[in-house]
Amino acid sequence: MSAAPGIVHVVDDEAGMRKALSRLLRAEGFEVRTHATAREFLAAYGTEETACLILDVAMPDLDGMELHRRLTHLGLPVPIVFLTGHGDIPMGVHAIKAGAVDFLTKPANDADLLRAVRTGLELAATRKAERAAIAALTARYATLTPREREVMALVVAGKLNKQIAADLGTGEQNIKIHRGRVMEKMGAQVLVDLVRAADRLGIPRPPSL
Amino acid sequence: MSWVTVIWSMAAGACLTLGVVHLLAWCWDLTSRASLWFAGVALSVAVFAGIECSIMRAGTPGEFLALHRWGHFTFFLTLIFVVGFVQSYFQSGRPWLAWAFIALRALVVGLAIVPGPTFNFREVTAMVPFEFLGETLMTPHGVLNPWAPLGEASGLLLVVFVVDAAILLWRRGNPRERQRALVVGGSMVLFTVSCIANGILVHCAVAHAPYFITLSFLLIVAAMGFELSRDRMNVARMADELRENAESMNLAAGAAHLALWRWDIPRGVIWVSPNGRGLYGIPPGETISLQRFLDTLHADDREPTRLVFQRALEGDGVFSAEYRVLLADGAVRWFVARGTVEFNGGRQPLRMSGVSIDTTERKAAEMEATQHRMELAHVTRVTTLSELSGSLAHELNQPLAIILSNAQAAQRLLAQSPPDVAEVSDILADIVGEDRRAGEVLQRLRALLKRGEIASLPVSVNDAIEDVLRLAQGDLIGRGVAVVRGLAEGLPTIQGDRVQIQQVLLNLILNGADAMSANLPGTRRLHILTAQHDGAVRVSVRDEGCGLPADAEKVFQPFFTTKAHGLGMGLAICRTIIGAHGGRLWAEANPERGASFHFELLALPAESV
Repeated sequence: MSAAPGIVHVVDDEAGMRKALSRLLRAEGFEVRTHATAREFLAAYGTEETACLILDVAMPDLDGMELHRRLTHLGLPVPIVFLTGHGDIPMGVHAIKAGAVDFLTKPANDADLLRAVRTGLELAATRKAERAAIAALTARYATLTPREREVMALVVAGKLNKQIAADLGTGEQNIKIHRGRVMEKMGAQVLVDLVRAADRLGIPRPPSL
Repeated sequence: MSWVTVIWSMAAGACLTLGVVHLLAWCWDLTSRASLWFAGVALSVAVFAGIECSIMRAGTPGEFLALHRWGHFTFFLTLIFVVGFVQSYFQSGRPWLAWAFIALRALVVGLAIVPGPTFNFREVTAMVPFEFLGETLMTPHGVLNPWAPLGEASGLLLVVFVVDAAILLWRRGNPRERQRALVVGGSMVLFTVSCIANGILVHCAVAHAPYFITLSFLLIVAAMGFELSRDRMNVARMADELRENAESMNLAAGAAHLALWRWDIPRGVIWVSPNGRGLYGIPPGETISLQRFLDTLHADDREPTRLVFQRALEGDGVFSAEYRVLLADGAVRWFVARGTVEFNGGRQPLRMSGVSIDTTERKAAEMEATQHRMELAHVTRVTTLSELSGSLAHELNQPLAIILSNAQAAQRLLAQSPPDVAEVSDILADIVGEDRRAGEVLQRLRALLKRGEIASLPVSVNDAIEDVLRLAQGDLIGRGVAVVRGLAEGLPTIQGDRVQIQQVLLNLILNGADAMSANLPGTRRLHILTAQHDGAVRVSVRDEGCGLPADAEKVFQPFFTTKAHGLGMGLAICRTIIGAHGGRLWAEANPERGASFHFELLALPAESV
């Protein structure tokens, strides 16, 4: 099994634990960075990287749960695998609900840990790809004229050219031309592509008639 | 039989008897010099009585003069004995006065006994009869010697000597000695003066009268004998008292398991009170040397004790030792011995006297107290363990997790080709280190792991406090902490585990003592108070120490400690224990200085007490 691309950050206040995890992950081919405290991690984390976080819960100063909350608050949804010495069920439930990839207790089975890390990295990659796609669509959307945006909104709402023309008080032929340009600018082959793009961009659809 | 003969004979007889009795008394106890002098006085007066009696019947001047010389000689002896008696009985006479008197009187006697005319008369012309008590007696008539007033002068000198000695004795202020001065001194002065007057009367023939010297001296002898007898009686009574004292002391010593002893160092003999011999297992009558005493000791204690003896003799003379005595039946008794050495002027040890206390029972109690302390410590450990279970699990879990991850990393590294042997070697070193760490945690755990049974019984809080104070006593004394008790009387009992309650008390007491460790000596007072409060028993431990943090509750948190090696569990455990007993434990700062810890436990209804 080869390692997924990306960086695994390990945050644990115990040096021995950091070292052991780092060895295990590196032996599996992961790129590993270790941090003794949550603050150290925050300082080192690059927002653009594909990264996964193995996080100890009980740490002095800023504990794992608190770091999770902060990352979410900052809009940095790093996939987190919790690894704790003394975790209990409510704590685990809370962590999973808050979006953690997994909640493992020490000593954790290596297979579980590696699986969770891979899941985390995949999630990170997916999220990254998603972010990239949305960015591309946003750029395309920015090239549309106001009239084209109006047309696009009505098209993805499922209206026929005739209805759109009536709505906008113009000729059907005119709408056809606009529609063609929208499809072209948004890089959509078929109508479904355009609908999906609108969804991703969060373009509100006017209520159907 | 004439009255004169009867009276003078009786006087002589009385003096003779008293003299012989006191002579025998002196033979019995050679140190009673006063008795010897008194015997001399009495016996010489007895002889003088005979001479005086004969003088009154002397028919011719020649006969008179011969008797008169013997009378002077005997009287001289009487006076010397009187002076000796005053010197040894009063111990206050001035020697020069005494010698002056003796010299003067010797001159008188010298003049009296030389042949020719006698001292008082240059010439005795005739013996004149006169009537006395219905009998015809003789009195001398003649020419007086010009030296005669010397006799009177010597008499006055004796009076001066006696008065002076009596005054000096009186001034010492002892009531008994004042009485001696008054009775003996007073009678001597009175009857000596009367003797002088009588002599003048007879010699000057102012009135026809016999010599009354015997009768005067009989009264002096009576006064002296009276005082001496009183002294004898006092001595006898004191001897009785001493014997009684000694008996009560022996009784007390026996009851208190005390052995009194005295070591006569030059003779090398040790006297031990009768019960003391019993304690040491030495049969009565056996002579005890230092070696014999040391032989009674436990073999391990002989040499140290011998050294203590040696140090006492060579050093400040204070002896203090603790040792075991091995009895014939194999029993071991513990003793604490204290003694002091008396030295002579040249710092040579004369004797060492002291007392040994059988502390076997106290030792047993001490051992029992140690047992209690161990039990208390037990509970602390068990409770600490349960409080610590979370962190202990973590302590064990952490190394295990590290070992596992390392081992799994090593497996992967070894599966690679080529394997990273250097890294695996590092990993193995780390695994060994972590395993050792886990082992240490386990060892600590095992030391703590012991089970203690917990009982729920009626407990008297005051008794529990006294027990704990007994346990902590040595510690508190060592730290200079004075305990001030304010224990309410008639306190109801509470229901609970005595050992645990004691653990709380011990904890609070030792904390209080700790808090005052920076106080100046003499200002470390720990107040322990009990009271009844709305159906509960309240115990307060108040110190005058460094006080509480701003948030007093903090001290009850686990791992809160102000001590270098404290676990920080004590108060947390105390609160757990009191909580488990349905009570509460809290702390508050004192208005002036230090902190107070209080706990309240529900009192049991009176009928179940």
